[in-house]
Amino acid sequence: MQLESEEHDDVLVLRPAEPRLDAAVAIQFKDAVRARLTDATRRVILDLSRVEFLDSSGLGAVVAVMKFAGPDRGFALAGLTPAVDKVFRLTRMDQVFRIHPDLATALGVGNGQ
Amino acid sequence: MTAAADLSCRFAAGPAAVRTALAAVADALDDRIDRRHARLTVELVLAEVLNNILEHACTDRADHRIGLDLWIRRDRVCCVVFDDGRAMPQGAPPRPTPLRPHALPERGFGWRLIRGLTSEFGYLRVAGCNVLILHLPLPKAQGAAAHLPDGARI
Repeated sequence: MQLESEEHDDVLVLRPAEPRLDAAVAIQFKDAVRARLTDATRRVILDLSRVEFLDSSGLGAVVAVMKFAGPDRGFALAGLTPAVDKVFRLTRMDQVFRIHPDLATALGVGNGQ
Repeated sequence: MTAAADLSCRFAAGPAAVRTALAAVADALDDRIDRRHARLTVELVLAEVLNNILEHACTDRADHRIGLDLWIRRDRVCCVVFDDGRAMPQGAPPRPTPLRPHALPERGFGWRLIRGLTSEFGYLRVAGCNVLILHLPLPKAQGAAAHLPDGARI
């Protein structure tokens, strides 16, 4: 599971670099995210713009990493592709995640723009 | 079913064979459905169905088999998936429990996706096999390529 990361001050941007976030990689994804979070991370943005296919296991893994990040860190999603967006809507998990159309918007929100 | 399937796979009930079958599904859809989003939706439903079979029906021995037949029509994709694993509890697919998104569940999304993305859904237990029949609607006028023969009925 390839997971790209960028730091913008205290914001950690994580971007799965593969087109599928599914049962085959869900556990690796969770482990990879946990390994990147540090005490200094105040906000996490999970950029899903490269993920075209998300199944129920992948969705469970995204929920798990939000829970792992904890209530004191901001956690947001950005760049949902159409099939991924549909999974969030059908399961109503779009109601519990902060979802931004793209990474630039997600970063801008944190800067008070 | 009276028409030959557009794709017919028989494979072992294991993760590697399931991945190969899903890749075959993706290839078959690639040729015939022009919208990527619609193809991924079909693939998602079949991935959920096959993962359920591996996780729940075919766990007691190593030699279970799965079959998948798929018909691509102008307005929908029809699938029959069968396996020789154990029957669904209470003889029917589970009804999704009420969603409580704010409880942050990590499981239980699979059946909701299957039901939410199919227009018709049936389950039979026949001769020791589970048989699932699924119809997935395709977006109007943007689904399967227009030159498809429309004669054969399912």
